Order: sequence, then C-alpha cells, then structure tokens
Amino acid sequence: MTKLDEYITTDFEPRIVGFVCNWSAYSGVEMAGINKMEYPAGINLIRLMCLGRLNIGLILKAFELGADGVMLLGCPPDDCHYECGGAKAQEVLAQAKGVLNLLGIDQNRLALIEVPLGREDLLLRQVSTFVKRIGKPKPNSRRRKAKVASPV
Amino acid sequence: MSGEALVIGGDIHGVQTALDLADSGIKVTLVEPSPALQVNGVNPGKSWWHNQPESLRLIPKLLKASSHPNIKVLTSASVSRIKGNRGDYRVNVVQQPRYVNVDTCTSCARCERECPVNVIPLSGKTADGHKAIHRPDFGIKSAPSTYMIDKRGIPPCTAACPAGINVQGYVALISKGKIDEALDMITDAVAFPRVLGRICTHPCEDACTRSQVDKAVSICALKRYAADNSSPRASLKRTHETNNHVESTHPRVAIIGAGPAGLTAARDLARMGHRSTVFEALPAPGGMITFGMPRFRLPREVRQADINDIVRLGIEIRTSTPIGKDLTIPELQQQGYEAILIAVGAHRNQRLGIPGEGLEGVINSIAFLQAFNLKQPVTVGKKVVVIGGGYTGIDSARTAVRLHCERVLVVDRYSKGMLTANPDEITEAEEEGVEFDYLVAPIRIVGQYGRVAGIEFRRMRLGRPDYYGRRHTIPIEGTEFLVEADTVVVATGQRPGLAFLMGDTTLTEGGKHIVVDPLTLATKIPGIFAAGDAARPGAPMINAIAEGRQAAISIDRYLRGDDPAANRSLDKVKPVEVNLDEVYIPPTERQPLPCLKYEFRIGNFEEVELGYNAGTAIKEAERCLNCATCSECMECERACELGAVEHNMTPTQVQLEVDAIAVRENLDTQLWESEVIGSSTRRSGIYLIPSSPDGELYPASAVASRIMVDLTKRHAVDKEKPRVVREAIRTDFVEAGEARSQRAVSPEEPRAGIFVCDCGGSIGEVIDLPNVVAYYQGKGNIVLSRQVEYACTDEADNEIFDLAREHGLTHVVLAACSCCNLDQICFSCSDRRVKCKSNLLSTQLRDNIYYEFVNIREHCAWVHGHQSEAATAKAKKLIGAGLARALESQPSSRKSINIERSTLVVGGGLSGLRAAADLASQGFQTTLIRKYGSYGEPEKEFESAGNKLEKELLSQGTTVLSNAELLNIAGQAGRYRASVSQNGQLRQFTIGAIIFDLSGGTNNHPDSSLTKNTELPPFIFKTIDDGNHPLLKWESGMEPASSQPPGVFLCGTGQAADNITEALMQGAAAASKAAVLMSRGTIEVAQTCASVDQSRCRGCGTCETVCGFGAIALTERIPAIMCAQVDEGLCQGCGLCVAHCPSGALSQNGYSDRQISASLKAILT
Repeated sequence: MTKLDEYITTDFEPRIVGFVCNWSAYSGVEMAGINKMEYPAGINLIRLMCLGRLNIGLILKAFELGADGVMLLGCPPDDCHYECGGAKAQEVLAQAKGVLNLLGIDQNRLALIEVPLGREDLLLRQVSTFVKRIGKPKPNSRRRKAKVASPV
Repeated sequence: MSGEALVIGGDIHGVQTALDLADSGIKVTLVEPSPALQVNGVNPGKSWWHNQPESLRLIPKLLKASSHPNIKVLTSASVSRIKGNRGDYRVNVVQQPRYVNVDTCTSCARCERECPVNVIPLSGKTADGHKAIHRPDFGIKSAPSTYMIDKRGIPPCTAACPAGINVQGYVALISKGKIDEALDMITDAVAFPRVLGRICTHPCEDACTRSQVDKAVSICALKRYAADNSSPRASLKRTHETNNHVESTHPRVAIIGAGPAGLTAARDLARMGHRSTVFEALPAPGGMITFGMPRFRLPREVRQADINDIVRLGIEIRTSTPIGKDLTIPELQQQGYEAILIAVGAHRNQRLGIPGEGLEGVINSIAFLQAFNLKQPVTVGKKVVVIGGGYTGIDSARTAVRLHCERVLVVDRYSKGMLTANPDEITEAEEEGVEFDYLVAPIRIVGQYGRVAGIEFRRMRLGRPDYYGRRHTIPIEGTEFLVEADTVVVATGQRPGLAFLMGDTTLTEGGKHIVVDPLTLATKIPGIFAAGDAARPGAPMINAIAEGRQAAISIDRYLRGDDPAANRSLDKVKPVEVNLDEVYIPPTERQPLPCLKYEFRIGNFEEVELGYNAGTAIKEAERCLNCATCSECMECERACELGAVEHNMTPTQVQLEVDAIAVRENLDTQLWESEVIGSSTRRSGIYLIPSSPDGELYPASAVASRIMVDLTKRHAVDKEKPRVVREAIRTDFVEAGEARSQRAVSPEEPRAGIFVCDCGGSIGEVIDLPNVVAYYQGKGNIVLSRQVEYACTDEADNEIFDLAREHGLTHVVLAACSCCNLDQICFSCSDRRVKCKSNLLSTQLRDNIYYEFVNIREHCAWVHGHQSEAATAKAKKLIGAGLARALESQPSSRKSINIERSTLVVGGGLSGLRAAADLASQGFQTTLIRKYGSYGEPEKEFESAGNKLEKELLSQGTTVLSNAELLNIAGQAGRYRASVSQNGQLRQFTIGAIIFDLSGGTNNHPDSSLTKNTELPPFIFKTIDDGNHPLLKWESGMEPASSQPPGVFLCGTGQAADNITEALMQGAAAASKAAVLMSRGTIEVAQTCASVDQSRCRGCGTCETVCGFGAIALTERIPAIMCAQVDEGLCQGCGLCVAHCPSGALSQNGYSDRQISASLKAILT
C-alpha cells in the first residue's frame, strides 16, 4: 500500500506525472533536453497529441495510482494547435479540481502550466515551482488522515 | 532534359519551393551556403531568432526537406557556374568541407565532449561560446544536425615553428590533460621533445597572439611538461609502431654527425622505412646537446632519454668514428651507402682576432663546455671573463659560477636587449651572481708569464639603424679600460669544422660551410645532403631539427627516385589572424615556471628550471586563444566510433543537370550579379524566389508552380498526352510512405524485445544501461533485451531487424531519442529521430512487428545528468510505459484516401485565372467558374494581364463556366461534391480540390462566384468568413494558400486586390498546392485519427459539438439509429472527441484510454 500522505510531511522526492501536449509544451521539454537543463528525475511525462484529450478520469487515475502531483503542460489557449484544446483543458482542470477537493486531495497537487512556444526557461521555472510546492506542503492535520491507495 | 530542378538558397522560402516540387514528384537539389537549412529568411546566424515561436513552427519543414526522398540537400555549398539554356542547364556546385561525414554522423555529441577548443564568444553578440566541432546551429535542432568543424587555417605558433609542430594542437591536448596524445603530436613532427622543452628558442612564443593581450603562452614549458610526464608505455608503443615499419635490409644512408639534425634525419628515415648508420666523431651521440649544454640546463638523463628513444628504432650510431683521414666520404659510398647526410654541426669557435688570443687561460666556450661534459680536467681561475652574451656565453658563465670563481663577468658589444640569449636565462645568471657589462668590445688580452692577466676593453655606442634595421656598434675613443682576469672564455659564435672534407672544396663555399639547395638541402654532388649548422651555421636547435626532417624527406625521395622538390615550398604559410578588437579576452597571468632557489643552485649542477605540474600546466594551456579555432588535435577523430570525422576533407565539385532553377533573391552570391537584374533573371528558366514583407511563404510556392508548369511543358513532346509525360517525370515516391504502415494483425501471444541506445555514450554516461537491460531481461513478455550503440545507423537497424526476426518478436520498444511511432514531424522533432523512426517503421508491415519509441535522451539522460541513479530508475519506468503502450495497441493499418483528380476554381479574378491556367497547363482536369461573362477589370494593366491569362486558359481547353455561381459543397474530404448554377441551370462536379479566389469579393474585382447565399460546409465556411483570411498566414501547419480541410485552397486575399504581382503569385501558390495533391492522388489519414466503436455509440452527438474540424458527425447507421462517423480525411487526430465521449465508444490510435492508463501504471508503480 502506497500512502500518499506518508510522504507529505517527510522529505521525499515527489512522483509527478506530467501530461504534455505534443506542440508548444513538448517542444519546450525537448529544448530543455537539448540544452541539458536539469530538472528532478521524479517527473515523468506522458505525451498526448493535445491536452484536450484529457478527461477527469485520466487525471484521477494518476492520483489513484499514487502520483504526488499531476501537471498538465500545454499551449496557451489562444495558441492551441487544434484551436480549442487549450480551452477544453481548462474546463477539465476546473472539474478535476472540484473532484479532488471531494476526495480530500489538496487541489494544488494538480496544475495546468501553459507555456508559449520557445520558452523552455519559463516551462522549467513553473515546473520547479510546482515540484517545490508538492515537496514541501503546508502541514495540514485534516488532510494528513486522507489516504489514497494504489492498487499495487 | 533531366526533369529535375535546382533550388538555390536553403532558407525557409527555398525549402518551401523545394518541398512543393518534391511533393509533386519532381526531383530537387537544394543548395544552401550555410551548413544547415535555415528557418529564417535572411540567415542572420543569430541564436535568438531560432527560439522565436515563428521559427520553431517552421522547423518541421526543414526536417521534412532534409529527409524527403525527392530532395537532395547540399549544405555549405554554392553554385560556381551555370551553363546551358532553358530546360537544359549544367550547373557546377562547390561544396565546402564540413570535416564530418553527413551520412555517418549521428550527432551523438561525443566529439564535442572531447574537443578541447572553446571558441571565444564574440563580445556584444549573443552567440554563446562553443567547441570547434559543433552542431551547425546552437541551441536548436538543425537540419541536417551533422556536426561540423570550424577551421581557420594555420595558427601563428605553428607557422612560426621551423619544424612545423602542431603547437596549438598539443597545447589544446595538454589543456585537457591528454599528455600522451600531446607528446604523440610533438614527436610526430620532431625528435628530442624533452630537450626541446628545455632549450628551444621557441619562436612560437614570439608569434603567439596572446602576447598582444598579456603575455605569450608558455609553449616551450608546456612541451616539456608533456615530454616529462607522458607514460612510458605510450613511448614504447610509438617505437614498436615504427620498428614494424623499418626494412630489415642493409643500411642505405650514412649520416655524419649524431647531433640534433643527424639523429632527427635518422629517426625520420627509420619511420619512412630506411635504415641508416650514424657516424659520430665524439665518444657519445648528441652533438651540441650532449657537449655544448651545461647539465643545469639540460640534465644528462633527459637528453639521454631522448637519444634512447631514437636509438631504439634500430639506428646504429658509431661513436668515436670521425670521418676524414681514416674513413672518407668516397669510402662510405663504396661501402654501399647510397645517400650521405652531412650534419656535423658547428663546433669550431670563431676567433676574436685580437692580440693575446693564444695565451694560456684563453679557452673557447665550446671546448670549455665540452670538457665539462666529457669530464676532462679543466682549470678555471678565480676571475673569469666571458666574451659574448649568446647562449653559449651565458652557459659558460653559469658553469663557471658554479665552480666557486670569485668573479664571473660576461661582456658583450651590444646592449642588454640585443643579446641572443633568452632574457629569463640572463636573469637566472644574474641571480647566480654573474656580472654583465654591455656595449664593450675587447681590444687585446693582456698576458703575464704566458698566462692571461687581464683584458683591455673599449666602450661602444649604438649607431643608427641601417637599411635592415640593425644597429651597428661604434667604438668610443678614449674609453679603454682594463679588467683583471685569469681565465677568458671566448663565446663569439661557432662555425662548422670541415676538416673531414680533407680540403675538398666542391661542397663548400670559401671553406666556411657546406652549400645546399635551400629547399631540398642537396649539395652539388647527387646523393650527398647537408643539414643543420654544417650548412647554415648559427641557427638554433629547432632549425637544425627542422632541417633534419627536410633532409630525411629529400633522402627518402632520392632513394625512391622521386622528384625531391614536389609539393615543397620555402614560402611561409600565412598564419591566421585574430582580430582582438572583436573579442574580449579576460587577462590571465602567464604561469611562472618554477625554478630551483638560488641557494640550492650554487656549487652544484642541478637542473634550475623545474617544469610545470599538472595544475599549472593545464592552467597555462588554457590560456591559448586557439587562433585557428580547430587545433587539429584529432581528439574528435579518436572519439568518433563511427569514423565520421574526416579532417582532410577538401571542397568537392558536384555537377548537376537540371531543367529549371529557382534562386532566393537575397542570396549573396557573386554569380548572381551576372545573372540577376533587379527582381528578374537574365535567363529564362531561372526564377527568383522573392521574400514577402511579412514573411509569408506563398511566393515560394508560386515559383514552384511556375517550375512545375515549365517542366511539364518541356517534357510534353506529345501535346495530346501531357499527363503521361507528367507522370513520367514525376517519380512515384508515395510507395515508400505506404510501406510504412502499422501492424495489421494482432499476434496471439506477444513476444516483446527491448533495445536501449547508448547514443555514443551520451546516454550511457548518465543512465546505467547494463542495469536497465538486465532489469528487463526475461521479464513478463520480454524475450530479448539488448543495448545498441547508435540506433539511428543502418547497422543498428539491421541488427534490430535480424534479432527481431530470429526471436520472433511481435513488439519492439526502442529506447533512444525518438519518442513516437508516428509519421508526422512535429516541431520538437530532429533529423536523426526522423531517420531512426523511418528506418525501423519502413519494415513494420513486412515483419508484422509493432515498434514503440521511448525517448531516454532528452527526457532522461540529458536532463538528469547529476542524478544518475534516479535517471536509471526513470529510464526503466519510461521503457515500461512504452512497453505497456505497445502491448495495449490495437492493430490498425495506415490509411490513405484516394481523391478525385480534378480541381474547381471558384472566382475569375487574376488569382483564380492564374491558378486555373497553371493547373490546366500541367494536364490536370480543371474547371473555372465565374459570375460574369468575361474578364472585366476597371484598371488597364489588370485588364491586359487578365486577358492574356484568359487566352492561355482557353487555348488549353479548360472548362470556363461564365455567369456561374457556386451553390454548395458537400461530400467528404477528397471527394467534394460542388453544385454550380449557370444561367439557372444546375451542374454537379465531384472534385478533389477547390480553389477560392477571394479577390472577387472586393470592389475592384467585380467578378466573383461566391455569393453570400452559397452553402458551404461549416469547416470551409469558417475558413473563408474571417475578414483577415488568416489561412494565408501560415496557419494550419504553415502551408501557404492552404486551409485545414484537405484540398481547400485560398488565393486572392490581402494585397492581391490592388497588386498584380501579388494576385498572380497567390494564384500560382494555390495552383502549386493543388498540383501537389493532384499528383499524389491521395490524402494521408492522421495516424492518431479517432475511431468509433459503433456498438457502444449512443448517438448523443457530444463529439460532433466538440470537434473543431467538422470531422465527426452523426449519421444514420440503420434507420432511426444515429451513430458517430469520422471523416478520416478531415480528422486531425487531437483526441478531443475521445476525451468527451461519455460511453467510451471513441478511441484514438496510440492514445487510447487503455494505453494512457497502462503508461501511468508503469510510471507510478
């Protein structure tokens, strides 16, 4: 049993899933790679053609499997390669945050990071801010009792 | 009549033209002057531009061009000559070397890591510093990404070295701590590295560019550091290599004199495969370095080590065997020595020519130093005067001072700065207590009882500089003075002792030295050569060594009967210059060479200069400015396992035969001054690709259309059947793409194989690959787990194919730099990745294997460089996710939709007429509809252009429907059904492409067939109804004149309303795009296209509302039962509908819910 909140108060390397849109965000990740910009190895990325592909189910699945944080890395809404994917992602984000609250998971563990094309520096800055937030959450006794089980 | 085209200028505009032509089936050669295709229009070479979103979006075009089967890209190339006429050009292209083989290099960056040369960043410019071997562009993906080497020429240090040692090369190697390689580089040119590292006069340092910044690099001391600290094994290896090379026959060369010149020649001859015998008059080899050098400057062991290295090559040295009385040169020749090298050096002292030289206690410096080195008894008095401040003089004085003399005085007739000796050495001598007196000349030596008692001197002054800038000394009368002395050492220069010639003067000039040809060092007698001080006395040791080398070359050629002067020249190579105003070089102190402290020097002969240690040597070597950029240290060549680096590449000539040429207008080539006038070219069949002010690409496509028309016309010998001819010149490359389909059948029991690429160590240095490979060995369905070196090479691919077949694999996961198994090229892609993917995917159908790709380079190794352990764990997870995705994949095959090969042009403005004319003249079935009866235009120039086009159109037999209006468009992508009303009569057309000339809507152009009442499908209407017509502005994948739905093209927007050229170009651009589609005859379906499970669809219509492309709609599957249906031609594969399907009926190939969940599970557990 992996207990999410066991990690919360201890010093740990958070396991973070990043859903990445194939266009601006993925290109940013690639450029970070080419320029060898370092980021924590606890971040695992899953590529999608567009963030519009995501629904609440897939986001919750990640939390169910024990992710400490889920990032949605996508293009700014006005620069979606498929025009309306970014807007849909924002809708899904809002819905998912609501459900997270119900489940007793800090909704800050889910974030949408929109990166303009060619700004890998901005991408990494936002990602590292997110990782820091996940790595050192504020102690919260009520949430500490919440347990999320993984099937393994 | 080759049917091929040439595009000159590989910026985005040139690339666009080439892509249009190639896509339509025409073979294209694309010539680009810079080392990589450029996204920007004017090639400013600035790194900031590349990160602009606009340019990133264009990168897929470059990648597509560089991997297109119909495009041959020649980078670093320029056109030198164009001959011939329209339709038949012969073009010469010169391709500059990039020193890295484009076909072999995998851009693994291994060479870059080893390269010791950091190119100085230019101040005030944003370009970062980089290595001498680098990717063509910095910080971005370039196409091709093949590495290249910046070479500027010969650095000043190497040019200054008489022996031509690659100075910058070995200094660079030392800066990387590569001592053995550095010594190899030195000994490649010269013998005696240890000796030279101590006593060389280092002209290289005088030439060093760094001396203009602060102080020259301490090159000589660095050489010594390399020579002293290399591993003995390295030197043995060198010896063995040479020994295997030497012929074991009788020696053919006799060398007289075992000094630097003689021994160097002997060594070099041995390396060329000739045995030689060296005759030495003195009891030990080495000549001046053995007998003329005091031990505190050159310890015996050091010079002996150098000599041993030479002797070890199997060279026989006969010591105490003077040539002359007992053994003459003719006798040597009789003994079978075919070539003789005279390298006797200069061991005779010049005489002073003043009274008293014969007195006891007057000794010449050579005899003085030689006596010490031969351990012969020498009596030195208490008061020593050395006459002459050259190297031997100072050496003599410093020897004397170590013998506890009371006073040692060095006098010279010149001033301090004019002494030939090294200033450091003078300082050291002064530290040791040697006194100096300058500008004095001896008049006579005063004797008492036959012994020296003193010397009388006279003061001198410097005269005016003469023609050569030399200043002679002039005696000052009345300044005579007497110096007390009991020993006088005369060190006023040496001359060769030529007694061994037995008075024969054929070889000499006035009996002073031997006369040689300066280039070949041959004397008047064939087979006899001379080198070193014997031929040209007074030169430093490095010159003697250099001549020894040259003599060896001459003798080798003499023995082989080759021309001795071939490819040799006395001309000095012009070294490269560094413009120090352009670069900022932070000042760095020259590392002082540590010396033995003064207290420890007196009374002994311990070596004074101590040499650098590793720390100081590297610091000093790093001061090198790398004037020539590439130092030719060959580290990259050693690092490259694929042998892609070729330092000796030369410019290559490429001959092309093309029918048409397109040139970028801003290309700065001299050739174009003769070919181009203003905005047109002198010759027909050569087209200029203009830039549009806002950077749009349709002018490039327009040129492509012109060339397509041109080529088709040229080849249309049979005017009746232009289409046949068209198909003959357009190769059918679509076949290759179709083979790249995905697995069609699902295997019963999956057998997976995992291959992990090391990428030349750039992945393996972070991720523990053997660990990863072992982790997956035999796990679950995995039957094979292997590491490969370069997955993007053909060898690795063949290995993967063979292993996959051998083990009956059904799923293969390749963990390398590729990250998807799709055909599409995103702007995050790279050329190696495209190659890697296309290699493997091309066999997918044949072998029925599913390939999945995982990027462990940019997503793991390169971003977790300092978290090796975590990166290894992450790599395992990523591979696990890829495997899960592969195992969950559904069998599907790559689809393409056949289109109707016919085009409808709506609107008869200039753009529409142009588009229709271009298409029709290529033999494509084309129909033009227009609202009015004929082309009417208020402005005169428009009218004449329009009438001309109309005539052209009608002569081609194109259907032109006047007074016609488009009513609606229906049907599916590729088979649109257009309804047209002409004079109230309804006509139907099935078409693959439709071109809208929107200029008809404006006031200037009254002719339009598009009315407000026209019923267009929502997706088409959406594209047109926008006031700004954004689809001409690089939307929808940056294709000019194209819109998102396939086969719908737009022209006649923006400027076209009042500019003829614009209007015509836009029309041609639309024609080009339509011609590409017509030639292909198919629309490729997006691989991630959505699919419907009809049994689960409940017909809610959510998908229809979310789809932005009108690609999914409800249809009646069976009467009254609605079900979603995907128009695969329109689907872009974003997956939005899949996410919103409430019943799970929709799925997306590659990104199904099951695949994403499986990936999540692999990553998180």
